Amino acid sequence: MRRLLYSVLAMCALLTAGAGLFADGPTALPKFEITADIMRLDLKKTPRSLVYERNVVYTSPLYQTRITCNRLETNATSTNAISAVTATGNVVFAMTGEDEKGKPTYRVNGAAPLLTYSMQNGEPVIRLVKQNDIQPSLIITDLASKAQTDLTGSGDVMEYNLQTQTLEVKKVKMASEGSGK
Amino acid sequence: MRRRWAYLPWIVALASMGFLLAGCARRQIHADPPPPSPPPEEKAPDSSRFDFEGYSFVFPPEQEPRVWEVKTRRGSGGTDDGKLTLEGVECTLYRDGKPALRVTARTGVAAVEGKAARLALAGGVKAVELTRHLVLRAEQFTWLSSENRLRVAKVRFIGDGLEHAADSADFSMDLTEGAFQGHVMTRSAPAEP
Repeated sequence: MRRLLYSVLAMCALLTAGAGLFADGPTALPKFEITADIMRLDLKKTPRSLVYERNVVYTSPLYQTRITCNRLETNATSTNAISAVTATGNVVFAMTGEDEKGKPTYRVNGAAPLLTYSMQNGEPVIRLVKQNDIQPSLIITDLASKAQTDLTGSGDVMEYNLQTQTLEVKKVKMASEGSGK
Repeated sequence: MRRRWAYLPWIVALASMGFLLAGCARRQIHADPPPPSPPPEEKAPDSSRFDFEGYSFVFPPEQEPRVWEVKTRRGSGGTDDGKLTLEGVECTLYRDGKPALRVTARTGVAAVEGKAARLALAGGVKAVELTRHLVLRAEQFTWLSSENRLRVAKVRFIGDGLEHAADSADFSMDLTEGAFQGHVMTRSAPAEP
């Protein structure tokens, strides 16, 4: 009887821990701060809408992410969770890659007419997207050697996974799509 | 000889006019000081002004739907201008006859003109939306019954886990729609005490 009670308690503890780990975490963007000149808020809309305009700056301590643009829109999947942001108008993006010990190892600087930052399968992903024939640009700088890799013009969509620190460059041609890592 | 003195009357007339004009001009420059004005009459105490302490009132009085209910620690007012100056304000604003917002502030002015009411609050203003418990803090807060909108300055708004701050903002009565202007900032909200 006591063994059964222990196993039930253990299962409850496991379930609670699991629910805590996966409740809001994977769908919500990491901690952030947004500054701008103007913001419109509409909590009646589903999903809740926040629109920032003029001198918009999005910063997150995770990988020192910084996005500047003219307009930024947020999407929320649930209360207390911003799951994605869409930036347009002179979008400039920067972040710092780290090794396992948290030491900065490389810097990523990008620019694009359209940028989305969202949670995909529980991982934060930044997408730089071509618009009106303007392709995204991306420069990766190795902080130790100062060597730069310029990926400007190499693709129509550049997808950078901040969790796995992998970059995917895609070329969109008509309906088909090619990609390379 | 006769011709020589023919211009004499003209010369005399012109000289007299010159003296006259010079006299007038001098009088303008050195004008006598104005007579001293009588001392200002002491104003009689205005019987229409009144002070009060621990007062509460509703608007419109004895009528539905109710627009506001104000409790104030002390204040003053006048029957002629329809304005009440308030200190230590606790107020409930109504929407469609139901309590919508509970607002507290250090000072305020409540004014009524005909059917229109205006409430201007200042100093540590805190407004709590009573359905969703959204919290708004501001240094200045103005509400016009005719527009049914709130205007706030130096605002901090906490709603749905986010904190928003700005120089000024314009809100719907239920605080679900807002437009923020100047030094707008959004971040994860700290727990509201």
